[in-house]
Amino acid sequence: MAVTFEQTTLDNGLTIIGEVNASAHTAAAGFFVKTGTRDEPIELMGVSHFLEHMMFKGTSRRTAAEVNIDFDRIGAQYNAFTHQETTAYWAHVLPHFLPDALDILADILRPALREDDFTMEKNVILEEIGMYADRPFWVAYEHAMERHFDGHPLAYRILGTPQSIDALTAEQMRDYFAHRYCPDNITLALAGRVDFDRCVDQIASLCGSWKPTGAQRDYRATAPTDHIDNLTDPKLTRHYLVGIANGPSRQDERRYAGLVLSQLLGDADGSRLYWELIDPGLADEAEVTLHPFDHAGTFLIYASCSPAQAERVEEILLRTLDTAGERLTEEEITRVKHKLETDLTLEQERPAGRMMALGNGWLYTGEYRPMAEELAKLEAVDADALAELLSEFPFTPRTLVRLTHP
Amino acid sequence: MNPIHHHRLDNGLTLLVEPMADVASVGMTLLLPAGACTEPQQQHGVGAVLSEMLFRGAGGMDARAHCQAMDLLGIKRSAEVHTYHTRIGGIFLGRRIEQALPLLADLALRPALPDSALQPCRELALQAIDALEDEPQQRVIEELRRAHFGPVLGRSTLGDRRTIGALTLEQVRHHHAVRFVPGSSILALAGAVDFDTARQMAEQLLGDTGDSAPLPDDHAQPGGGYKHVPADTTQQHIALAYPTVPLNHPDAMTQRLAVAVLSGGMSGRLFTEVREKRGLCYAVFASYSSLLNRGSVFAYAGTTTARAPDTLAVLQRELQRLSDGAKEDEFERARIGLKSRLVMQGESTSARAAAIASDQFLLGRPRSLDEIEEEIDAVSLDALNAFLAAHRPEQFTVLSIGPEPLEVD
Repeated sequence: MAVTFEQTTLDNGLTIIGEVNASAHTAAAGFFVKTGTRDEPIELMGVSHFLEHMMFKGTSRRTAAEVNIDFDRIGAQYNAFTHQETTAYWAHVLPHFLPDALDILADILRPALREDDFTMEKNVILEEIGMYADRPFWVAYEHAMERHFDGHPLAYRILGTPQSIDALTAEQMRDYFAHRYCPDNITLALAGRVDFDRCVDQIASLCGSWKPTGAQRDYRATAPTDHIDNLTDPKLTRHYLVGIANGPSRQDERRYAGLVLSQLLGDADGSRLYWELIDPGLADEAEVTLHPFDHAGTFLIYASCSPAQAERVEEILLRTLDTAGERLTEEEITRVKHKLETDLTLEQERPAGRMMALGNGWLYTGEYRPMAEELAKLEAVDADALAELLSEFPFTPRTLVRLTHP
Repeated sequence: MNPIHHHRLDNGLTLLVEPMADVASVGMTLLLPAGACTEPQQQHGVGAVLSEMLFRGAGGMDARAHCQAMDLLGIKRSAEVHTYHTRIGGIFLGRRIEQALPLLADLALRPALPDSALQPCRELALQAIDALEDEPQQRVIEELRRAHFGPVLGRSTLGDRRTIGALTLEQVRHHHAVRFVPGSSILALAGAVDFDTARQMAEQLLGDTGDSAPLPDDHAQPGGGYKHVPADTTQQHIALAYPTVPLNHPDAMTQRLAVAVLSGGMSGRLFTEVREKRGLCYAVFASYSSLLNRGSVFAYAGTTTARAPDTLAVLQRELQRLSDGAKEDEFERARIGLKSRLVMQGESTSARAAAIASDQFLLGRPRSLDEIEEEIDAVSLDALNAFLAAHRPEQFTVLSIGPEPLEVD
C-alpha cells in the first residue's frame, strides 16, 4: 500500500498535513489544537475539556442540533478528545463525504459559546466527573499526576474539579478560546483516500480569515520527587496501585527505546510483570506504558490485586522495575519489537488510526515519519539503547498511589 | 467487495476465509462451543478458569516457551468466554501465517492444563469477578443480562465465586475435552490470507474428529421487572432491556435501523433528549444484540442520584415514543450511518473475522459487506414504521446500581 505525504501552511499559520493512500476505502480528518490542561491557569482548571464539549453547541451557521445532524447525515464517526496537551476534533467518513466533514469541523472550530448552552453543559461535565469518580484506576491516576507534577500544570485534572467547573464563567472560557484556538496553534491532519490539494483549497477558504495570536506554551521545568500516598474508598473490593516515573519526552529519540522497555516490562502478555505477577495469579493486571509529553515524559505503572496480596505485589513490581537493566537479551528485545510491529501494521491499515498518529505526532515534532521509518527506529533498539535509557530514567524518583478499602 | 470462502471440513468444522486487498494483517476468530451456557451448573466458571489455563503451556511446550514463540511472531491473542462459545482471537501478519496458526491451534486444542496452573488460574478468575464489583458501569450490564435472560443464557461469563473455588483439575480438563471440539467449531480468517493455504492448514491443525458438542436448549421467558443493587457509587447506573426479533428474523435489519434512530449518532433521539436538551447525563445509549432466536434492545444511562428519576423517565419515554414512527430525515441518517460503519468495519481484519464467525453461528452463513448493504437498502421508511407500530417495547427488565432504588412502574 503506497502512501505519499503532503504538507502546507496557510498564511495565517494553520498547518495542513496529509498521508494520502489512494487505495483506502475511507478518509479521516482531525483538527489538532495545541492546548490542554497544561495550558490552563489553575483557576480555570478543566476549561479545555469543558470547551471541547461547547465546540459542539453550535456556530453562527449551525445550531447544536444541526452540528450533530450534519455529521450524522454523512454517516461520520466523529468525536473529540482533550488531553493534558492536545484538544482534537475528528471525523472518519467515506471519501466522497470528506468535503462535508471538513466544512462541519472547520465551522465548529469557530463556536458560538452561548451562555445558555454553557449553563446546561455544566451539568453534563459534572456528570462526567461523577462517572470517572466511579472508576478506581482513574481516581488513582489523577491523584498520582497531581503528586508527581506538583506545582506544574501537568498536575491538573483534565476534567477539572466540581469546584473549578462550578466557578468557571462563559466569559473566561471565551477569553481562553480566543487566545488558544488561533490558526498558528492548530494543525489539520488528513489520512486515507484524500485529494490533498482540494482539501487545502477548501480549508483556505473556510479558515483563511482566522487571526493568529502567537499563543505559546509555558515550558517551565517539572521537578518530580518521591511520593507514596494511600487513598481509601469504602466501596472498593480490590487494591489498586498506580505509579509514575520519569521517561523520555515526545521529542526525545529515546522514546523508541522507551516504548520497547515499557512493553518488555509491562505488556499484558509475556512481559516480565506478566511472569512475575499475572502468571502466578498474584495480580490480575500489571502494566507499564510510556506516556510521553511535550519536553517531559512519564512511564505509567499500574497493577490491581486483592488487598491480601497488596504488599507482595508492590514489592515484586518495584523490584522488577529496579532490576530492569539486568538480564537484557537481544532475544527478549526482538520479541517485543515483533509485537510492536503488529501494532503499527494495524494502525497503518486504518485511516482513522493514521490520522490520530499523524496529528498527535506533528504537534510535538513538526516532523513526519513514514511507517517504514518508525519501524526502522524500533528495529534499531538494542540492549545498549535500553541500558542507556535506564541510566537516564531509572524509575526513580517515582510517585506511588495505593487505593483500597479502608 | 471481497468474496467469502466457506468450507466444511470432514470433521464438521466450518472454515470461513475472507481475503482482503491492501492489508498485511490477518484477523482470526475461533469459536469453540464452550460458552457459559454449556457449563454444568455446579461448575459455573469452569470456562473462565480454562480460558486462563490455555496460556499455561500448549503443543508440548511449557507456558514460557509457548508464549515466547507467539511473541516472537508478534501474535496478539486472547481467549474469552461468551454465552455460547469460548472465543480464541488472534491477529498476526499474513506472511507469518504458517508459523502463527499452529501455535494458536495448539493453544485451543492441545493445551497442557498442568496441575500447577489450576490455583493461579482460579485466583485470576476470582479476581475478575471482584474487579467487576469496582466497575459499576460494566456491572450493571452484567446484572441486567442475568435478570433479562434468566439462569442459563443470562449466566455471567465470569463464573460464580462459590463454584470456581471448588473446581478441580479433572473438571477443567473434562470441560476442555468435551467442549473444545473442532468438529462443532467455527474458524474465521480475514485479511492477508488465501483460501487454499487456510484450508490446508485447517485440515492439518484442526481436522481431528471427535464427538459433537451440541448447545443446550433454553426456553426461559425474558425476565422483566426491576432490580436494584445498592452501592455507594457516585452515579446511579441505570440499564434496561426488552425483547425483540433475533438476527435470523427477516425484520432484524429493520430493528437495527430503529435502534440507530434512537442511538446511531449524536443526533439520535436518546443523546438529543437526555443529554443535549436536559443535561441529565454524560453517557447514554441503546444497542441491539442477538442470541440464537432471541433479540434484545439494551439501553444505558449513568447519572447522579438526584437526576436518576428524570433520566429513567425520559429514557423509557423515548423508547416508547419510537413506536409512533421515525421521520424521513432520521431514517436517512440511520441508513447512511449503518452503511458507513460497514465500510469502516471492512478496514479491520479482526472485526471482519469476528463478524463472519458470528453470522455463521447465528444465521448459518456469513454475510459479505455487499449483502449487508443490500439488506439495509431493502428496508423502507414505511416498513420501519409498520414494524415499530407492531412491536411496541414491552416486558422491560430494569436494573440500577447506586445509593438509592428508583421508583419503577
